[in-house]
Amino acid sequence: MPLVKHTCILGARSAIYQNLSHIKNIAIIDFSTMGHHVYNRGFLSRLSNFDENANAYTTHISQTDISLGDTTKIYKGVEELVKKDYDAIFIMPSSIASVIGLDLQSIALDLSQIHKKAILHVNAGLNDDYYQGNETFLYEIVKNFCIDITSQKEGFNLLGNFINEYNFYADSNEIKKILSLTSSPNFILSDENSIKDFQKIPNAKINIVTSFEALKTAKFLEKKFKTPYMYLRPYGFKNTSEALKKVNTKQDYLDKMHKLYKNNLIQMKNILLHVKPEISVFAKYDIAKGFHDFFKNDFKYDIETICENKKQENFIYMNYDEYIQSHQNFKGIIFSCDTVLKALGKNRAFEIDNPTRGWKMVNPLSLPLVGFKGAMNIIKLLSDELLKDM
Amino acid sequence: MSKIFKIKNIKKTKILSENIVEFAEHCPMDFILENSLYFKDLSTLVIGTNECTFYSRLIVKSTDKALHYAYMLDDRDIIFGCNDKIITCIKQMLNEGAKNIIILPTCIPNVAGLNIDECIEQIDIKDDENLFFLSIPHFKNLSTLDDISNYYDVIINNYKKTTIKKTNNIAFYAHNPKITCIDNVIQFDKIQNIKDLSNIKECKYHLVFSPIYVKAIQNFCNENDKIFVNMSCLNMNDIEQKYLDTLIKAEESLNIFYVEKNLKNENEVANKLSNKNIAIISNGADEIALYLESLGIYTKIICLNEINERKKINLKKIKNRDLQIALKEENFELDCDIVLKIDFSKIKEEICPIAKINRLNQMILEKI
Repeated sequence: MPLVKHTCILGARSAIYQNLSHIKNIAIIDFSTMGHHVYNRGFLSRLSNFDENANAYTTHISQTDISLGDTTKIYKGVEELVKKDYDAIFIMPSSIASVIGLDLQSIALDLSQIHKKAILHVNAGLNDDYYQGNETFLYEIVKNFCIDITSQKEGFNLLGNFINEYNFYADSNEIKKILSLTSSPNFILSDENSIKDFQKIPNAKINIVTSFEALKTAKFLEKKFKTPYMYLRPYGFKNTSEALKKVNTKQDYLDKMHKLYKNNLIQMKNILLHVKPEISVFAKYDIAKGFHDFFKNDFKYDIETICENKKQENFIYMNYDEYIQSHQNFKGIIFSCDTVLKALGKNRAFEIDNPTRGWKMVNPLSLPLVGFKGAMNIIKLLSDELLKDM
Repeated sequence: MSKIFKIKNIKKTKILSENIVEFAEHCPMDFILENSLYFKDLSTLVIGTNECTFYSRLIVKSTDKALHYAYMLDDRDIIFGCNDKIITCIKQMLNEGAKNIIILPTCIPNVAGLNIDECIEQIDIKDDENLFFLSIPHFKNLSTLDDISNYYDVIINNYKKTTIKKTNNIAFYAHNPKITCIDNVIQFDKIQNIKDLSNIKECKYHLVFSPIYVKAIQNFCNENDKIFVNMSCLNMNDIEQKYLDTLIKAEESLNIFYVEKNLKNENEVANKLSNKNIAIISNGADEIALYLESLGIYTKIICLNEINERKKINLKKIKNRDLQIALKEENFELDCDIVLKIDFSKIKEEICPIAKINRLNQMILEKI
């Protein structure tokens, strides 16, 4: 039943909009109703503080445009944008264009030939969800702008932690920090990048993929530029240690960290053995898998993990309404998004995923959930909750 | 007498835009959902694509009395239609306890030509249940006031018809009510349940402080009802002013009064009576003197048939300390410029305060 009560996963079109608005000195133009633009635009401020820099425009589509298939507005709109001298112009996919069968791809091609400028269209179907949107966005940008290796290969690219992921700032910074012990960063997706920064992607020695949506791009880069990739989203101590070993981090550092966190790990393990709480994680694939491995490897403790996105093997899939319905009487601890926690009356400190209903202060100095620091953060949250009545 | 108008059609205001717009207008769904929250027992079903589904969930949240759902259309629904699925969804909502549901198809169902209004006809509802239908596409270039007007029209006029006995009550339509002290007033913004809408329909007098209600009221009012559109106390923006002008410039009617026209009468009264010695001979002379004082005109003599407690209170309120009060006409000399002999019983016939003032202004102007 496609009936939605609490929330749903955002569509690919919105995901593409959010990611493109994050790129410096490019313009996005939406040939659709103003409503879709105004919602997408308004939602940007909930995701990051870059929304002020977004060059997002709409042409508005009227009844006449729909019935006569008139595309004059998009031609005139792009003409206006060309005068503003942006590095590239992206024509957004739109649901109305999909329904009336408007070929925005060919319009983009036509316009780029007229204006001799990079005018592109990132295609997304009506049913595509936001994970597909993220995947398509990165793939299309890399495919169109990463033409050649421009300098000697060095450093790493951090592909993942998209702008629409929860806590992307802090998580990305933490991974960057621990990876910087062995290598220098070449490109970080979550930073505010320009098209020139994207063009530097082929210059890296290795691609570190932190979100499954970036895997397609990493495979493309491996094929085209022979850059190897590694998928890691390190939640917990053991997972982080293993990930760092793979990137040749010195054993001294890992021993130092182990010594530092050893006691806390034992304490947490004892608390879990004593209280035996039911723990359920409902999030996107990367996070659900990360938490599953964290509890299994560090505490040998089984937790329920449910995925919010389809097409992921080994994990149960549920949509938000189904999860909320099935966990109405769940007594234990839930790690999930704001909407789920609010609907089930759970502690909202256990927010680990989007979408969110409320407004959040997003900043790079907030505590991460990944790496050693993230593991400590999660342990603290959990122990505070479990020991609050003691 | 002030001019009276009837609304036959409403001029549509086009959305004026350049080729590209950075900060765009909100879509009708946004306004309608926000307005639907005024009724605590009104459930909503938004039918649209992912954008409409996701973002509408940020506006509304289900409660015990009102369920807020969205139906997310996919490719298959658009190609093959989805009426059966929508019927199942509405039935599910009714089973879950939603009594009043408004179905809101957005842009895509309208572009794809899905006949969702047919679904409603196929559903058997109980006596205490109501289904409303309002199509809210954003590409029709309607102004937001049109959309909200249509919403109130649908809600008020499609509410299940019962036998309505007309009363002398006054229905008051405004979002920020300023008149709260009058008896027999039913404030529209205080109505929280759909079933209480019948109280509004029973009223003979309708005081409208926002043009968005006019369409709805006109559709259920009969010839004996009176509608007073008063925009004078509100800070209207340009769109509202234009919208109202289109309403007013429409053809004449027998039951719509535009109160701003009455203000002109007030000004005329004030101009003609200024710097004049006035005597009022009427049983309601105290109230007339008070009214004239509010226009900045001080009365010299008032003549009453009797003085009761209420009149004493009114006389105390009059600021003019030189006022002479007489009980019978022959007891004093009428050395005044203007003598207003007014039959107050004719004014009392009017229930609505604005109608009273309107009648009084007319009578004063006739006497001068």
